[in-house]
Amino acid sequence: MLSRTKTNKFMKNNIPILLKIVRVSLIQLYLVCIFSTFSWAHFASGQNALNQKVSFELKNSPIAQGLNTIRKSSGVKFIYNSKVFEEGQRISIKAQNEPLGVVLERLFLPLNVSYKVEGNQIVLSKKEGPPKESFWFQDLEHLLIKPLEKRISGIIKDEDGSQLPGVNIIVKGTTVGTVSNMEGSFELNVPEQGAVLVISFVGYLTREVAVGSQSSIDIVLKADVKNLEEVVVTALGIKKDAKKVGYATANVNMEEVSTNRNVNIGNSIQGKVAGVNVSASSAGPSGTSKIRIRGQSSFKGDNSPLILVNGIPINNSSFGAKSGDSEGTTTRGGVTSDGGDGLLSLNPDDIESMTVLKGAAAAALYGFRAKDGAIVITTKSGGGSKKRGIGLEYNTNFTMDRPVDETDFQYEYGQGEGGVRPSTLAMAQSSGVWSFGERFDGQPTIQFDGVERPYQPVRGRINKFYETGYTFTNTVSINAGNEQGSIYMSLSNLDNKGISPNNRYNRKSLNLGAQYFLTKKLSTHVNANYSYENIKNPPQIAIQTLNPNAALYTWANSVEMDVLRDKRVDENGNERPTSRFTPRNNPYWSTYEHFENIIRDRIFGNFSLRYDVTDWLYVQGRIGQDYFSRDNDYNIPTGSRHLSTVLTGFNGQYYQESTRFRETNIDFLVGISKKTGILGVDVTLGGNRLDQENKNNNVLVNNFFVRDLYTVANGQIKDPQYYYGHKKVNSLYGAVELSLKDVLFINITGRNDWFSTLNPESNSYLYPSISASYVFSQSVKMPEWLNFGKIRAAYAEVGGDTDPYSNNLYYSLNANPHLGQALGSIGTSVSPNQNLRPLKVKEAEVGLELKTLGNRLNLDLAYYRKNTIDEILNVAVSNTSGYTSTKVNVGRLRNTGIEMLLTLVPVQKPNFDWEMGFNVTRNSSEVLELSGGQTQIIVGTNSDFTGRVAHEVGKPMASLLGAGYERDSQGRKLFSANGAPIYNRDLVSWGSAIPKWIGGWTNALNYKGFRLSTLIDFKFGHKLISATNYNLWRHGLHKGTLAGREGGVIGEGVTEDGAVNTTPMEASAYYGTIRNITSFVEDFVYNAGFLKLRQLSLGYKLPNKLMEKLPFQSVTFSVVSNNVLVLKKYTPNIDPEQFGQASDNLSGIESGALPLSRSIGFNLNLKF
Amino acid sequence: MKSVIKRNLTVIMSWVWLVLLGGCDSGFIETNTNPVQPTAMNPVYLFSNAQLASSFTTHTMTYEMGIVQQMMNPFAGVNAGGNVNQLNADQAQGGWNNYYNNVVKRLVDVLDKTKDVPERSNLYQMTRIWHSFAFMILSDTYGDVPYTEAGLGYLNGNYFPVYDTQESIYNSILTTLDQAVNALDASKPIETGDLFYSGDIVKWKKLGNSLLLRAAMRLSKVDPSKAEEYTAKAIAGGVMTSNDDNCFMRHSATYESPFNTFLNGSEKVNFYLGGPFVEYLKTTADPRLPVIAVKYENPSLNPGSTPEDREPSRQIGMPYGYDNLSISTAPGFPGTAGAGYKYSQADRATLVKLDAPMFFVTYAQTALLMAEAAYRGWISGDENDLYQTGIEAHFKQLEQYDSDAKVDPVKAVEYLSKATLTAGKELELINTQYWVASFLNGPEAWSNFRRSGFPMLKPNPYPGKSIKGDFIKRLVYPINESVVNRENYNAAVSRLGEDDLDSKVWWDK
Repeated sequence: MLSRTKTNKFMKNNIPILLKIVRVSLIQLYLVCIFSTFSWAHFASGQNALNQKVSFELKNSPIAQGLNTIRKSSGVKFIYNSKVFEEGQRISIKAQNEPLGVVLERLFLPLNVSYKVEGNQIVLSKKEGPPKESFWFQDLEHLLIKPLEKRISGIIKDEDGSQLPGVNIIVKGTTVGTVSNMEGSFELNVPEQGAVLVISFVGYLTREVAVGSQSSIDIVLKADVKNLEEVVVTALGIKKDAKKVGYATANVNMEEVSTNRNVNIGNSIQGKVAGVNVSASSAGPSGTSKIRIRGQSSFKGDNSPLILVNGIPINNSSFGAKSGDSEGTTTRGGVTSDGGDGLLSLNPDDIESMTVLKGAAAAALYGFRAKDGAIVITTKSGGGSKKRGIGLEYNTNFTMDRPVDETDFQYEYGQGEGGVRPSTLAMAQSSGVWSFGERFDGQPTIQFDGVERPYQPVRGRINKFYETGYTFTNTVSINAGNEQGSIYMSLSNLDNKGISPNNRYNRKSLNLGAQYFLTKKLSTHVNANYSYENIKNPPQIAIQTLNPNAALYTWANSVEMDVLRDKRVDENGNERPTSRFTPRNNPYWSTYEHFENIIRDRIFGNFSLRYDVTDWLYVQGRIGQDYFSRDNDYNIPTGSRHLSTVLTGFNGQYYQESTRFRETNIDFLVGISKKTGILGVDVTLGGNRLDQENKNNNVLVNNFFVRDLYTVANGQIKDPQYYYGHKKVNSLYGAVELSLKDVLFINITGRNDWFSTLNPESNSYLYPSISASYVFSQSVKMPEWLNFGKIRAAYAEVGGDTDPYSNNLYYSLNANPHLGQALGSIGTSVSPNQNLRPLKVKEAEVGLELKTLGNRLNLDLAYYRKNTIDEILNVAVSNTSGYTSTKVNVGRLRNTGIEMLLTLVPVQKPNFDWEMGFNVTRNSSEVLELSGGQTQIIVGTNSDFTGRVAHEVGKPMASLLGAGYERDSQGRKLFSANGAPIYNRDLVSWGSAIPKWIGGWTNALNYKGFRLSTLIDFKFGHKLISATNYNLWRHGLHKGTLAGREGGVIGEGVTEDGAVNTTPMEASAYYGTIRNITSFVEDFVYNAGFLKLRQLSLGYKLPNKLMEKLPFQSVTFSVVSNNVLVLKKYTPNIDPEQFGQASDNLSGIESGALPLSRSIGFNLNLKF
Repeated sequence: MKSVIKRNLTVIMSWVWLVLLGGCDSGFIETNTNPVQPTAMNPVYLFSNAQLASSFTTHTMTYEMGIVQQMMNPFAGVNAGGNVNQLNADQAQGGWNNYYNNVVKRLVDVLDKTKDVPERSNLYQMTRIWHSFAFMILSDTYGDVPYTEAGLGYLNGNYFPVYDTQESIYNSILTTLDQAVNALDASKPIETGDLFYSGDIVKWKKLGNSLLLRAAMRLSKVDPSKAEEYTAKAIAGGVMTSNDDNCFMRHSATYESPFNTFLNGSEKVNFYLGGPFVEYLKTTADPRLPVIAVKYENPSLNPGSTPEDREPSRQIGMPYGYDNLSISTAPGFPGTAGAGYKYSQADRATLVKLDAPMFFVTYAQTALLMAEAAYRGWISGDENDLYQTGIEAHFKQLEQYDSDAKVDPVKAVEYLSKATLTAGKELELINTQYWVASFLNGPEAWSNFRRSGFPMLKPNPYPGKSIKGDFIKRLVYPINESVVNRENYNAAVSRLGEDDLDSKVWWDK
């Protein structure tokens, strides 16, 4: 309504001008409809449009009429605003079977108008640069001097070796110039001496080439990735001109990602995008990639962004260790390995673009799924190929991984307790995880296998235990296209061997993308991705039992690794005793006798039809589905030390589960796009119907009849379970975008969701957003150095997802009756609440974009404030009520932050350029409210070792809690009469686990075909609790435990009566006292900050000249390395990123994960 | 071609129509109804599960059995408790959590679903009896606890129950048991789902009265007249008369004894019989010693795969006052074996085997309580006869663990012939036998020890103890209560004095 009023007022005052504009606009009824520009509408785009041969004649035509004639003969449409041409401008030109590009060059060059192809439209704009007059003067001068001239020729190609037609070639300082022809070649007269060619083309970096004595010049133009008119993919897959967007988005450079790749593509964006915090799981390569955008938006354990592939959401559930909400849930059998997430299925070679929608406004059209932002992925569909016909591409990538040993153990005292080495087999088998023995002396000493070996330190166990891993990826793809459509197909295989013994991962994927114009107006698009993933023996992490990592980091320092391996099994086939700590299994027992298999078959994709009803209206319908089945089984091997005896047969466990997940989305879109004079209106309306079904059958069997046969049938006690979950969400949404004079853009969206999971009385929620963008550099006179300036602002309200069946109380039956009697229970410890609402995120953001120094220095700043309200909390209640918690809408929290991206091109020479990017984010969170006066909720407990995570009112999220020493009023530690430290049982907060500062610094140097790129990234301002160091302390491997080995430890402090403590306490007893209270952490809280050289790659692209002799279009070879160097860290013995737990409710608790590994390898890309 | 377009348009429009229709929420209620879980079920299923869940957890081994010096482990840390007289919050709250989460919660729901259903009246009364049993344990362990408002989280929306005083809880238990026993009616439908007695009304009445006797006797120190009144009621109503009346939970390979995973599993080399317990059985030539105590040559191996020594004279319990570093300095330290020690353990093939039963209320205990009541003159009967009956009942009761756990009949007769109460030591003798008869029932052994003061145990001399007195007198409330249910918790603590291991519960004052 507002816009219409404005228009009317405007019309009254400006009728003459308007009449003209209306006429122009009528010619181009088909607008560059931002909402409607889908990628597959572009198949006939780009150079194809310019290459078509046209014939027509214009004689002194008014602009509008002339362009209409061109449109009729070529099919291309022109978009421009009235400022582009002088008032009353007329044109004359004649074309006879010439490429359109050549004709347009001829037509627009003298008019000082530049053009750009976008889809099958051509956007016209006023050329930047010095006023035309000065050219005329220079020209005059040249005319006066009249230098000698020579004829040169050349060919212009892009980096892939494709010829570029329609490129401007101008002799610097003159108006003398030409345009390259269909084959990309040109001829030109240039001054005999000192001539410099300026070669420019839309979408490419302008180059200057000195002619010198050459008469034939080959010129390669580079794509300008920082192009002013950058296009971003926004919600619902709608492509928009970046300048119109009123919120922060970021594109990920896919070429970099696929050259120096990670097995999980999520990890590839670490350090590269402002506001995005990625934590790779150190649980092996097939682990979860934890992505958090602008902090953690809720108190839930999972705050992962929505992942969209070709506009349809895919499942990104984490099967990581201790994922989920309630203290990081584990699988039923207590196995906590990391089984990966949804992003793991994606092959980076298939991805064309990846855009991060950071804020609520960007993702507002996803309503209830938008609380964590979104990552919008577009896969290839053949349309990107510049060449028609068939293109073949082959990419191979091989990297090797070695663990990075950060340990710095004591190697002075060996196995034993109480300062005594084992003297009997019993002692050797009891003290395997204690290094509180005697000083090493090389004397023969009994070990757990009964053999005497010299009592001497064993160093380098990390490197001995972990193996050299590798990842070998091969992808072949074909793409083809013609006027009707295009197709992309790829086949990929990834083989990975982890550094943990017997750990493997294989991924085979098949990707298909196709688009086809059935008629001129009706087009269809299909995308399908099939993947087969097989994870073998992902190592256990974050717990004690069968965790090789936790065991390795506590094992007495005088036991040889190969002895541990070779003697792991005793005469009866059971685990040989090594320690009275039975859950601290021999690491080789855990990796050789325990197995786990995960197989996921997954197909996702979508099919759509789009019909362009008229120039300004289209409708589209789409069906998408993500389906996978996931089979998982594992054993707890018979004879494991921690298992209890059985009446008959053999102890042990076997677990088998099968999960089927299906999400179907049916949606429609109607797009309307109208432009009236300086006012443009785009309206998009749509709806979506989501149906999600989750089924899980699992069975846990205990104890076996036949030894070493791990099957359900062989199990003595069987406990089968079945889970079923089904939910639906129906949505209607709409967006209205108003543009004024192409400098001010206002976008209003609304989405209403109806949830099956909520009380029918109140199951409808509206999620609105409004955003605005103002390109002030195009409307206000700006200093010359400023090329582009824009401010933006946005506000949105989005929501969170809800779980089915949480509004009613359900009973459950045990799988097995007891004594013939059925056993029933109330299925939950969380008391249901019938009136739950989905949580809501209200986010406001403002931003500023500046481009200067000829677009060589760009700045993008954003400030956001994100309030989460109506948090659904499982609020702890007194368990005497029968429940441990109840769900209520109470919590409030706030994330605020500043994001900055600075890109700089310090050097830009024809043969050498240097691009630099620096991004930094400062995020701070504050817990504003918990339920009814509560000041703290504990959300995660590291029950096997130490440390807790809580949210505390008035503090940042994820406070790390733990106990410390008791101190007197002067802060001195207190000691009891026997010399033991006195601990204070109170759980104290030691700081937040969420980094305040995250960022990265990228550099890329291009020199002739070489490209050197680096990534340095960092996170600062957060803490972690290291359970590994806690264990090293308790078990005597930590260097800090060397004090007092002989004569006892005299703790520094006072006794309870104030006297200085002088009582010594035997070392192993002293250091072991930390286990006497719950969650002692004081000595094991560290600054988790780090600065790392994350990635390094050196690539070489064979020169195009060579290509002519080879059957390739291009050949690129790169040497790559990941996790290259730790430049700064604060944690002894471990890497601060050595994390395994997937749940946000266990952030900052380091606990028995794999050491990080460094990879080095190569990438070879061949295009045929 | 036109028709193709037309058809496609129809398809698109029908999608639009579908989605528009979806704007309303037809079928949502159906979608959000869990098809694989019921919203109602026969309440006896919950009752059975509550019975099963009543089996004592391993926490009773670290605290209760450690305090009464029947079970010992030499480690501080995770399993610290009665062995080192220290506060260990995780172990102390074990019983609380298990009973409130798994027993009370289910029983309260059963009460709710049966209270107005005449044909389930027997189930209702049985549930009241077992509810009383559960609250005796909770209150004996912690003192004042939520009782009247407990378990009503979903039913009443009461998430923060008040703590009832132990006095009021006991008053309520006494009347509840009295009423429930009388209301049990064999002419009403029999609840065969009951895991103790298959709903046998006679046996339930005996259980109810035996429990009433136990509750009444608990008040002997604090309110002797009430104790006497209800003791008499219980006896009049009819208590257990043989081991066939014993109330215990049977276990199976599927639902195994909680002690098995501990003593035959992760802690098999860490837990031993307490020194004073073995010493008592040894010095009194108790024929139960070879049934209870075994020395395994290598405790880290399974029974049967390592030689066993049952010779009474060689049995030695682990003494109190030491930990794993100092234990080797203990007098008579027998040395280490495998990863463990050469101390006696509870027979892992019988008493704490995988499917060992768990006894809650027994004929032996009942007879011994009656012996005391008779001695006090509260009931008629010969205390000496009752004393011997109680001992003999426990001999026989051991066979209910396993047929191998058989007391030598000759030695049994010999022992019983000498088992007579000596003047002036009646209470000590009766309650010391009660202590033996309550082996593996930590909560009852500990409560009776606190009530009667017997057996005469020496205080655990461990130097690092965190209690002020000689023995742990109660366990502390879970930390969670002090945070979540603060007001009610504070009120309870103000009545108690301090929430520590030293404060005495009401009937122990």
